[in-house]
Amino acid sequence: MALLLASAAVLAAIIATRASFLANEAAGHWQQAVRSEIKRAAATVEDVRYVYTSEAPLAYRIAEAQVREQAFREAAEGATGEIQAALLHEADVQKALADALIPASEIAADARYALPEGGFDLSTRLADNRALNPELLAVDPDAEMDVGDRVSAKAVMLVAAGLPVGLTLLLGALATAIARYRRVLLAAGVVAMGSAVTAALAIELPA
Amino acid sequence: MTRLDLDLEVVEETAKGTPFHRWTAALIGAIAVLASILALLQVNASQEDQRASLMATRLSTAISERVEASSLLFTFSGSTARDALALAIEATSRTLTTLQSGDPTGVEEARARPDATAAERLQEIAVVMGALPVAGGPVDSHTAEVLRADIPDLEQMVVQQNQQVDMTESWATRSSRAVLSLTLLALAGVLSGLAASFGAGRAGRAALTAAGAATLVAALAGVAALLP
Repeated sequence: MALLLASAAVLAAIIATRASFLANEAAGHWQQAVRSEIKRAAATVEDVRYVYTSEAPLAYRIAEAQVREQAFREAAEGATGEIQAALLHEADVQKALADALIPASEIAADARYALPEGGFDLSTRLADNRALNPELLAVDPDAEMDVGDRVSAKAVMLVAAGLPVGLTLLLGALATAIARYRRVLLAAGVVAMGSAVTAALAIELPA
Repeated sequence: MTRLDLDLEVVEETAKGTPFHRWTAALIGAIAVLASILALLQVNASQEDQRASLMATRLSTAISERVEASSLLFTFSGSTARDALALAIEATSRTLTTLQSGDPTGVEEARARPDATAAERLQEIAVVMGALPVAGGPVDSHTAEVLRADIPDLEQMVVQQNQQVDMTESWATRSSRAVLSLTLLALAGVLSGLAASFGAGRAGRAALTAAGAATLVAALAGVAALLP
């Protein structure tokens, strides 16, 4: 009887300790998910900011100069004399502007980003920029959250496995006071204890 | 001799179990069962509380990320469209000014037409360059999702974030009730121990009654911990 009660108390302590560790571990994974979310957000915003506010305006300015140059040259083809000269002069000005700006633009300087209808493919540029830091692309807060959820569920199930331990203590306590049913109560206590151990091991041991 | 007789009497009484001892044993056992149930409630509520709180924080971050990133693309798109429109307006203004003040050489009018043509092309280019990333395109799925976020998406996320905050409060309250219940149960355990120690006298009965009352209140607090 004393052995049963002592065993139940020890098992309860083991379960409580282990569940506490698991609950803390789950919280750790969830907090890591928050840190990952912040990290991923910062990286995404920074890459988008760099492409659309640092690189893209210059690329668009180059596209504008190229389109205007082309438009002036097309207009010059149908013109003559002073007008043609003025139009060609303006086309040359736009070309010179584009040529001067292109070396400063990684987008315009790379033929992969040029679109056939004019302008540049900023989505591909953004994708290339993002690919420069693959470790940031791999950040996945949802995966971390899922791990936390699994560990948390394990902690809760382990505490649930402690319910038969409470029952064991009840049966053991009654066995001390009710002599007539002592054997039955003790047997039931042992069964409850066994089920608690089995449940705890089933939760702890991997499938 | 007398002392030995008394000890034997006590042992016999314990072995049979008096009503006082049975009640004490039953109460201690009930406290153990209730404690295991309350521990389960408390751990579950505590975990849900933490999870909801951190999910609310994550959603706040995700909302900020979407607002900021999509506004950068929107600003670029608007800016380029405005520049293309300004060039078209400049071409029109040049034509109108030429008509009003005269253009002996015809150069100004000739310059206006290509700018108008270029402005039309640039408006199309501005749309293409400021376009949202398409699904399955070169941009990774997360960045594409962030950039494609619109007002209804953000409103939906705000609703979810508020739900998580509400859940945090609800689970925190339930966790606190479970802790209160466990505290009362600990008190009941101490009183039960005192009752067992005092024996079936007046002090023992008083301690046992107080322990029973504390257990009952703990059970009620435990039931409250089940309520949202």
